[in-house]
Amino acid sequence: MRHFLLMAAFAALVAVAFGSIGRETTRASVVYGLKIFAEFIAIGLALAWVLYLIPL
Amino acid sequence: MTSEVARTNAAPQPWLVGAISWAVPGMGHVWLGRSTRGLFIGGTVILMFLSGLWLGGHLHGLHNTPEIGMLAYVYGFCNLGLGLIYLVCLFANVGLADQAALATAEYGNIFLIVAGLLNYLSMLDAFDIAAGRKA
Repeated sequence: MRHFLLMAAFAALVAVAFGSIGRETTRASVVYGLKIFAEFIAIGLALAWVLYLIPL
Repeated sequence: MTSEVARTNAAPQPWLVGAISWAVPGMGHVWLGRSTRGLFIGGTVILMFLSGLWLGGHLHGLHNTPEIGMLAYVYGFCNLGLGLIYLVCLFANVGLADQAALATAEYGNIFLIVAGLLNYLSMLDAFDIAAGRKA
């Protein structure tokens, strides 16, 4: 759980930064930031499962 | 014409805006009148830096190390993106100790590295705005 929370915290901070820089209007920044956050979480979870299932 | 010249002369130099943005996270945007953006990006960088230290991460100096060799230069360059915070920490010997015993230490290192990289991004964004390449 701790790993997931840290990943979520990282994703949130990066999403805020990217949202601030990437878009001009407030609404567009918020939407973009949420999209970035969701993508970080989704890709993180997907990679976690891929690495878990790969026999090493 | 005179007012245009005056306005151009009053606009800050893009390289200076970029340098200020590197030195103090978010300050370049604030100087350009983009206070909200500057506070968000600056606050994010500083929060990420403090989180990194709290998690047990450590800053890398601009030299190689026995543990990771030349890769330390890369990490050190990323940490350098933090600006004056990094330089103050280097001289004050704060945040340099390796706390590998902590379970979250590697997360902390990543937070510190990415904080510096985000400030580089912020610096480039401030430069682009000052140079008129971006609205």
